[in-house]
Amino acid sequence: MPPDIAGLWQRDLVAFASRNALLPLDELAAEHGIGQSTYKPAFWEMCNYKGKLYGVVSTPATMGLHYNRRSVLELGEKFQAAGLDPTRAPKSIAELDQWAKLLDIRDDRGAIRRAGYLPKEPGWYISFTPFWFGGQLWNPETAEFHFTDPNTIRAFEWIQSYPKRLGKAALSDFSSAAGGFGTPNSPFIAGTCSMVLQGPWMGNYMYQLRPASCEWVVPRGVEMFLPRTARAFNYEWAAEAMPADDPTSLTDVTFADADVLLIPRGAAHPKEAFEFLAFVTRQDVMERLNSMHCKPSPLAKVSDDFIRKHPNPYISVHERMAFSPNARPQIKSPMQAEIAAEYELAIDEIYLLSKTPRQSMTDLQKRARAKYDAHLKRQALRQVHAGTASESAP
Amino acid sequence: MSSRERQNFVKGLLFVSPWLIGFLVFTLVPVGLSLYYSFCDFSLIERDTAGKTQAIWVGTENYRQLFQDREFYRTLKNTGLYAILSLPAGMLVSIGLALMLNAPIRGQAIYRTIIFLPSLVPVVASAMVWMWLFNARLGFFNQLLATIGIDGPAWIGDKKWALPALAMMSLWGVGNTVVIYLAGLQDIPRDLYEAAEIDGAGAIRRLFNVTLPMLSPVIFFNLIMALIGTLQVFALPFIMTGGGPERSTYMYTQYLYEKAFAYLQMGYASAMAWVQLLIILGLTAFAFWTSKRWVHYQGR
Amino acid sequence: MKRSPPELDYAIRGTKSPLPQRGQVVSNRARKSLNRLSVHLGLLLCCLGFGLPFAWMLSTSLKTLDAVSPTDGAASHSIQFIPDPVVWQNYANVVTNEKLDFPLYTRNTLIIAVLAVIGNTLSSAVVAYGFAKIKFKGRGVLFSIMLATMMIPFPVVMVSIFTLFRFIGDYTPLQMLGTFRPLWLPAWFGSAFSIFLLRQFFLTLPDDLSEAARIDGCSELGIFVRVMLPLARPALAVVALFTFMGVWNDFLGPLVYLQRPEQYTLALGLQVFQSAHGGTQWNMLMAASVLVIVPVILLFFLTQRTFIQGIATTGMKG
Repeated sequence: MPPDIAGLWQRDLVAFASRNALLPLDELAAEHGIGQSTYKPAFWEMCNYKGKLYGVVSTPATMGLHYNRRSVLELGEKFQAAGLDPTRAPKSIAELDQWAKLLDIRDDRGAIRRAGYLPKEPGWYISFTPFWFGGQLWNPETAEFHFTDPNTIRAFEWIQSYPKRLGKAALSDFSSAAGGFGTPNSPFIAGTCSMVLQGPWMGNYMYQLRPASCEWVVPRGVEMFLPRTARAFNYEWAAEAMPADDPTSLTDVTFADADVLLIPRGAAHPKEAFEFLAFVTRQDVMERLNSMHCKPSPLAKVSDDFIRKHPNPYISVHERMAFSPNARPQIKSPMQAEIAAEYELAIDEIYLLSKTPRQSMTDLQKRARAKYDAHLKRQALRQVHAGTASESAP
Repeated sequence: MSSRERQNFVKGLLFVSPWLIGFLVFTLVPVGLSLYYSFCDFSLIERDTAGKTQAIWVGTENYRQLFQDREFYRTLKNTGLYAILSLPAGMLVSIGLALMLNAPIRGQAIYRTIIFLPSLVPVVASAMVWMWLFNARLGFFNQLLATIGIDGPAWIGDKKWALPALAMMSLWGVGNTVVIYLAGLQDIPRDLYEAAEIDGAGAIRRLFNVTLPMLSPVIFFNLIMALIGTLQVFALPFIMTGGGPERSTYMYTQYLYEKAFAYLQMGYASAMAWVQLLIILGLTAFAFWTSKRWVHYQGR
Repeated sequence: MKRSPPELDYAIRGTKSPLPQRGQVVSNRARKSLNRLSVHLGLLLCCLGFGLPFAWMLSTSLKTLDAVSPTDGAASHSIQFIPDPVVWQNYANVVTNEKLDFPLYTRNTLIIAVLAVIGNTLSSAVVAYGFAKIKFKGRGVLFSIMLATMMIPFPVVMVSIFTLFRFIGDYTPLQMLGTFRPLWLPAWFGSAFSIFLLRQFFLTLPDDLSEAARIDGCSELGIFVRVMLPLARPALAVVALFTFMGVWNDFLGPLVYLQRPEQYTLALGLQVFQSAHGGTQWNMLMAASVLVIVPVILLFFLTQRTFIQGIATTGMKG
């Protein structure tokens, strides 16, 4: 007997939904007045598959560029000499590269003592890089992969420019000496990597692991007496949307992730289970929950209190990213776990300079297609033999 | 059957019944089921209109897809390569150690204990220790190499070195095998050596003409056990490299595990399991076949 | 093959030399001691290699975070075996760490281990007795089948046993997946390896013992419990020890069957802790590894004598 409620990562929702394992929630949601307008678009969109709602978001996250303001400001003159403004975040990928080069510190052997930016530090979201280049990975309408789109390839050419510039060995040295995530010696927290693509939890981690970086001007206890706009000056670090390759056409691009709650098909008490889901979705409950997690709210309506009392000083940046039309969730192919493993291999090949991005992505396209075709073939055979396939070939 | 025989039959069955039940439930039925599943599409979570999960017969589709699957060949190749690297090295090292440990010298007990201890270390813990030893910059090996001016490789972080590095670390756990060889060496009658010495055989000839032939049944036993174990290698690469870098250490059992529990293709995984079983059985049968030529049983 | 305990005692511990000194063809004394010296040298080198990981692990486990992952980016550091300062606190931190619930995982592992050890030892003994001391039709065939099952790789049955446990959970009130049951229940049906060991042992016991008891009117079960089991103590200890180590070591089993972090065993917990934290706190990880290793090694030293005696009498080797 399946449980009444289950929790999943958003990226696994489609795998379960497409295999008929989840209860569609549209009717139950409508009864409780939960619908498209309840949510910020990205978070509504990620819980829907083929026109049906399969889950509700519990805690969401938006990924942004976190940078070490102190390191940047210390290089203020150099920045200005290069025509860069050290008081605000980089505005484009090209500008981010310039920042990275200025912030790099290498010794005479080429070893990295401080990195400006590294695509693999921590590299959790490296596979979504094409989002910032206007690239698409998967088209759900045509069920086609788009790994060989020019924009996707450009994204990975950018990624590969880092190992090319810094050297494969220097990068492997740097990462093997890096302190683990969640320790004060992890590169961004220790100040040995100046910019990272990370989520809102950094607010908690920075304060717990390097409290001094959150009390640059005044102690945390009296921070609330600062005017709201001045609050950010108390922090040695800052967060902003990761800039796009072409900032004139793409703004506030982000990868939107979330934990979702759902009801398995065959659950004994779907009505009661949804009562709980609706309770979690209530604005006050949602805001309390996500304040605790240092995360933004997935709901369209946000109270002033939530923003004012939030432990993350950059919560409004995250709120803005979450509301952005360029906030994009994980791609929705029904066999995402397997495709993700292939994708990971391709990124490895690119980052370790084994293949050119074009070659690697062309190979990936073939592998992904073959895996998807095999999946469709099995689904078709299911249909022939038992009539239970949940998905047919397009 | 006489009544005594019948009585014994019932008694015997009663005594072995725990194993018999276990064999039926945990071996025979699962082996049969997995053969059946290997001809099915079965995703564990996929539900039909009645809300039931079930395996749906798809004929030989899994096997057909398997033989066109590049990962199948890649993992097979990696596993084979690992076996080719670690099996002979393991045998040589363990026989060599056993010979040395068999010599009547002072401190034997201490030597034996030190060689044996690593084989007691849980696999997860030894994975952790070796990951740390292999660390590209702070690891023991590369720091040692750095003191003599050599820039060591990234070991398990380098696709050329990762598999040999794993094979190298597998030598750390040969203690078990060494003990079995030692016991085997004790079994060799002294008079054989004496006779050989009277014939004027030197140490090398005694090794090849007396020790190794007499030890061959034990070598054969260890070979079979190592073969079965090595072809299923999973935990060490899974923990240490996750199959990387660039899938250079992606092993067959890890692919099988991921097919089953990460990609939820139980049927496909079962087909993989059956291919694995057939390969292991085939190699074991081959080893038995060749054993007639090189394994000498005493008194036969 | 049977062997006497002192011989194997020698095989493992080398406490006494059974090599006859007389009748040797005497060769050059100097050459002999040179040989001995080279063996010593070879063994010393090997032991250095085998012991080094232990030493490095211990040393790392007592270092500061800054010593194991320096943030100064300096290209190389000299090898430091003696930590400075020595941080015993690492061990306390491992035990009280909230991300790696050491006491809980130890408790979980022990629960599984105790249940598996009791189950496997008892039922294997019963079955082994049946195979060794009761002559019944089909015994040879069954015994061969049992030996053959040792060759079936776990991955082959992994998927179907998983579905079997799920089936039992779905259709009986006995929940299997997400509980410890899949990890210890099969042990209650004996394991081929343990049964084989114990059977070899029972074979060494003379039949007159049971015959005498039988004449006294003892039932077969009575003979087994009152006569055989007490005699089998060393062999049972070996089986128990092997089973315990098997559970303590097992990684794939918990990985497949356990679903919630609060059920993790030490092995699984350690791996999850490591992989969840990308680069790693090596000092903490090494301290945790030491804590996982120590019980097994302690157990080995404490039971060494019984162990060797047991192995010897069961004639396990080839």
